[in-house]
Amino acid sequence: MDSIILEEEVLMENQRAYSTAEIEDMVKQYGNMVFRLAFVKMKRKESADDIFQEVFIKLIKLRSRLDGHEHEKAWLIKTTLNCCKDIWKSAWVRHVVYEQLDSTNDDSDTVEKDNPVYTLVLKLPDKYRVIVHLYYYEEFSIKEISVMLKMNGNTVSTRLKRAREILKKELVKGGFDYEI
Amino acid sequence: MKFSDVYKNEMDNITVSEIAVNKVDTYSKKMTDTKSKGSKVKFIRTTVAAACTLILLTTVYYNRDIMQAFGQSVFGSFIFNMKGKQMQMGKIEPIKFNLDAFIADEDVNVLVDEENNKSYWRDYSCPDEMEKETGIIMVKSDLLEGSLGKEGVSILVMPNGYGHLNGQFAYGKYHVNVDGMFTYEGFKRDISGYGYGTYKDDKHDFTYEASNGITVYFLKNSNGRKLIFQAGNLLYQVTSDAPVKDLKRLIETFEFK
Repeated sequence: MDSIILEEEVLMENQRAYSTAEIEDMVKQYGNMVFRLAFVKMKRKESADDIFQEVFIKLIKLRSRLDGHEHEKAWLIKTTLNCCKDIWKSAWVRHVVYEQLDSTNDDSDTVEKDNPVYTLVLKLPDKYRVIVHLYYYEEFSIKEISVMLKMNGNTVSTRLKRAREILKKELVKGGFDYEI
Repeated sequence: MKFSDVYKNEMDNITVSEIAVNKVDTYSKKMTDTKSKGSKVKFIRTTVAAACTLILLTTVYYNRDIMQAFGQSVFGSFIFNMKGKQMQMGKIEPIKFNLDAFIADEDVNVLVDEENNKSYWRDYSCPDEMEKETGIIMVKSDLLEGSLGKEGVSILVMPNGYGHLNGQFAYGKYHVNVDGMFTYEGFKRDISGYGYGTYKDDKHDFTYEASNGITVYFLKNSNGRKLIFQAGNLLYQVTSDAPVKDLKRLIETFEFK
């Protein structure tokens, strides 16, 4: 998989764009992946919904198709992260939304009880969250993550290590004995 | 238990909303419709362009003779208008030939050397000999080719699509340049019998004033059409049976400096 994702040119020229049926299939196959990644990054379902739509609209607008499933997946992840960055950059989000983030969910206590691990991941600093998600949920290697995030492999490795340390500490504090 | 398994289990419960999925589906279908319409427009445009091209090509094919004549005219003019290759022409004297009197049919179509009573013309064996005796210099160029025949020295000018324009070349110190013009100076001999100037049966047909300052006298005689170009003090005479309209078009391309 490394070699495929590492390639820069994934668009296949002279190939027609995706049909409605193909888009529908891709939404079924990758929709939740895009949504979850956006959710981990944004910590807000509404924003994740918006990003999900934005990413697939970009896919629909592509004039050529992507070369194979692995490239499709890599493209969707990169585009999701870029869309998240765009939203982070917007003044409205910086000044209004994220000040209220922690108090948005009325049933936050229930969520924490039902999903203690992902709640802990969401509480990680921004620079660790995506790396942890891509590593543990999407099962990408450190090398692949470094390419997708355009970061040095050592940086990814260090951040993952620090994230694990934080998670371990929090898991112990919460009384969980998970092997990390 | 592994952290990754627990994390995956918990994350699996988080799914995108149906509303968002429906919005993407709707947009996708809308885009497909737009693309389909775009394809139709593209098809119509291509068809119209192909039809226009076909009509144009058919028109060109059925008028190919006109097109060819036009192309040759343009091509000939292009060659004829070689710039920066004029010879030094020196001092130019007024022409003695009385074209006005000729046009008025006063039977004065002769040039006479009254002072010297001398003919500058005979059947010279070669251009060099002619130059030695008369001061006439033959000019060689790709556009001009001088030749000596019974009719005197003639010069063949320019490939303009009608074979050669047979330009008759004259006398004096200053001569034909590569633009096809030449200069008379001080010649006063009756040359009508040698194929120069005009014959007695030359009849003035009409005069064409070109926009470039060149006046062209169209003559007719029993052998065909003759043209005398007058540009300032320069005179040049050619014979050609090319169509008048084409000759006029050609004349408009000449440069007079």
